[in-house]
Amino acid sequence: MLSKVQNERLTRVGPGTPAGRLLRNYWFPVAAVSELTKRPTKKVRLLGEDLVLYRDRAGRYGLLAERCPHRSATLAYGIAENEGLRCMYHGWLFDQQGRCLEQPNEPEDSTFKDRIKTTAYRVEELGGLLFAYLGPEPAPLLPRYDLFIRQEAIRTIGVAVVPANWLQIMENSLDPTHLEWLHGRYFEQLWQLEGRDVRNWAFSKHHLKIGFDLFEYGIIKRRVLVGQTEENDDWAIGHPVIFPNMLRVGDGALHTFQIRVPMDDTHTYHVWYSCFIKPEHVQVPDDYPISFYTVPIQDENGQYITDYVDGQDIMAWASQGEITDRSIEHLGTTDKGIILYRKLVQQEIAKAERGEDTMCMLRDPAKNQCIELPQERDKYSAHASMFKAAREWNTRYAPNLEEILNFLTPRETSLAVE
Amino acid sequence: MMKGDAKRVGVRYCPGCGRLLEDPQSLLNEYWQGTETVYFCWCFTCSWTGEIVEKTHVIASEPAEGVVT
Repeated sequence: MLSKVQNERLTRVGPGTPAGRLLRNYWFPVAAVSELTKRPTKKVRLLGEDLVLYRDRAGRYGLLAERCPHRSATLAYGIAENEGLRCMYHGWLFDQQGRCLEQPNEPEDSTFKDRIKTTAYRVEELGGLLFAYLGPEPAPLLPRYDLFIRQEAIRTIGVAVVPANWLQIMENSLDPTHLEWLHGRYFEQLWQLEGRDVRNWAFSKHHLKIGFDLFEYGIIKRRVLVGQTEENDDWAIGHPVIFPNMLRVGDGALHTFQIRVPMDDTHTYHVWYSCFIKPEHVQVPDDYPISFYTVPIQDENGQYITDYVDGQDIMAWASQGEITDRSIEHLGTTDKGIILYRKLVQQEIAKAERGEDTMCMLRDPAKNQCIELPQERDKYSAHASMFKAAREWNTRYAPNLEEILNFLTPRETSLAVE
Repeated sequence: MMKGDAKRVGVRYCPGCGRLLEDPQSLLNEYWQGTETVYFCWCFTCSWTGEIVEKTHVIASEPAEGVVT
């Protein structure tokens, strides 16, 4: 249980809020590169601010306040030019820095445009994603975490807007035991109703022990399941929650970053960045595209879609309320990872308020060539076979999933333990 | 802490510096371990971090056999 005041401090993300100030120290993915090849603009909501991401005709990316400073029309329908983005309403042109370059209908000798500047933020591209930075200068480096840059991977990117505050989504990642219930027994119930064989579903194994260790980039999460010992990867290696907003999950064959982007206090843009690891014998074209898809969260009847792992998580996150009320919760010993994470957020908020760099703000390019993160190879003692269960994850919505699975042999389709 | 008792908090001050732990900048997070209520504390002022267990009864060690009490 937390006080309402402490809950507010940890969850609110708008300008001037404590957590909002902390989160402005980080880069956030706001689009896939492929999204801006079909249309030059995308409306973005990030940390309570309404913005427009664009790609100009010279191939540069920019991020501007959504409203044109002229008469507040949206720039989301703007016209891409060589120098920047032009408002479609009266033609005012803005560059990456937010400077007004042209006001076509003002007198030729007018200096009015020189007095106009709109809000503009940095954008950088990495691994098929476009990242935005809304914080103070000098901006930290965009972290080059390994999955964004490793070569031997087939990538696919899924996104969803989840109607829930970012913190409760992150807390889910510090809560190992939900695995055996939400993704174990609940899944078994669904499958039993469909007449499917649920024997040996690896996610249903009971937890004997869970552990959490701080490390340079966040928290390592560990577990020992029935039938395992501390020698197993799930304990000996574990997997990381990267501060402040990313989970890495997977095994030796499929790795995923789950990136939680706070849009505002009550909505989170969720990015699943999945990398299928190519075995040495598999030939995939070097220019094989990174596919992109939207993950639906509700069906035509307004019910959450819960017949896959990530849909089960989304249902649970949203069901807690837009900003879950932590003053009425009842935590037990299995929630110690959540408490550790809350402490870390509070501690880093305090550093941000003092104007200090916070965890995972990188300044040294030499340390940012490739940041290798720990990850189990044999997860749940299921022998690096999570890719076989790709149809039970958000990746089921990838338009090229079957093609990806055809690249990766053997082709068994169930994740079962021998 | 059960419903209806949500205002009662067994810990208020940091054991390290005496600052109010209900300060929004600190962290006072209650959880349960069996019959015990535990308060995880992190103090914004002095960084003291630890857990305080609220005890409702105390069990002493049993006397050795043969000792007359």
